[in-house]
Amino acid sequence: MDPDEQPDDDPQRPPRAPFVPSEAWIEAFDAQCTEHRLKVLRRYASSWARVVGGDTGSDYAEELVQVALTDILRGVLRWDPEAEELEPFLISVIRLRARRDRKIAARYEHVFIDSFDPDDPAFIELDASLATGMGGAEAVDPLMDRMHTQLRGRVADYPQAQRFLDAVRHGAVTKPQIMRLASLTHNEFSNARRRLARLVAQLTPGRVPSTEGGES
Amino acid sequence: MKRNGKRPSENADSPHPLETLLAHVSQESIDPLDDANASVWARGVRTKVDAQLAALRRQLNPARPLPRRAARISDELVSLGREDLLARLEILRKIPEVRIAHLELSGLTTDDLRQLVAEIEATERTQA
Repeated sequence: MDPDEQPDDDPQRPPRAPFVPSEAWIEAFDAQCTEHRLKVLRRYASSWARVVGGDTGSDYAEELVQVALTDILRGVLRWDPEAEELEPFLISVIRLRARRDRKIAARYEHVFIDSFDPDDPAFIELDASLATGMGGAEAVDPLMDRMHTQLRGRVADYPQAQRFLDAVRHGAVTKPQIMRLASLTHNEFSNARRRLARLVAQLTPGRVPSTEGGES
Repeated sequence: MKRNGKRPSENADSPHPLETLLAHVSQESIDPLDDANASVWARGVRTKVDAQLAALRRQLNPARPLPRRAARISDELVSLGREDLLARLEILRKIPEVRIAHLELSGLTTDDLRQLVAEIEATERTQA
């Protein structure tokens, strides 16, 4: 995490302008980078890594979050607090990096997760993904399609959760969009989300729980 | 997301529905043990973030030298009148290192003269 841990010691590399964020930027980051949000991001990275990547440990997920934070604080990735809140921005970064890592993992035997080097071809690929929105989706979409469908089958007895999944399938992203498209009240949304969280916690790559007995 | 002036549109950067679902269910804490571990981890991360934010703040507001305080005027100088102060300045003016910017001292008030003598004597003491 410490920027001084990885000095730029390549004499060939032109010096990068120092990142000097405004006081407002620092205050916004300070206010939005709460422990609660860090835990949400860890859960997101962890569930992505487990469900799509097959990684059941927490180390990779924690590293994804920490590296994303470091890159923002170093100015490697530019977050604009006036355009977007920190949490969705970080979720996008984590999502695209996790996709990239999975793509690389599928190609090579070992994947090293480290702080990003902006001149690294892998980073340039990620940056292009961030810019175009491609994100290497082709590598993981079939698996995610299958898991989403299987998950829907698991909530056949829970219409609100089914409508939640259908709304997401039809492009709803935010809570208001899902509530509107699925015709869910706040309580119904929360209950469906909790039910789905329990099911997702049991998901492993390519497999969904065969019974609901494991749910609590 | 913006880098080098590029920012994708919301439509272009659309997550897979399963990823959207994961983002929503991540708001739910359903495993108390994992939540406890996550709390410890989050506190550690936040501590490191605090250190990095402090560094950014220092970079934004580097420590500035404190403004120099005016020399203290001694009781002795307070007791001196204008003529005594001018005489004192004449003595100080003969010291090679002393340069007085004011060519015409008559334009200075008695308080100005007192402050001038105090400043010169304080500088002399510092350099001695």
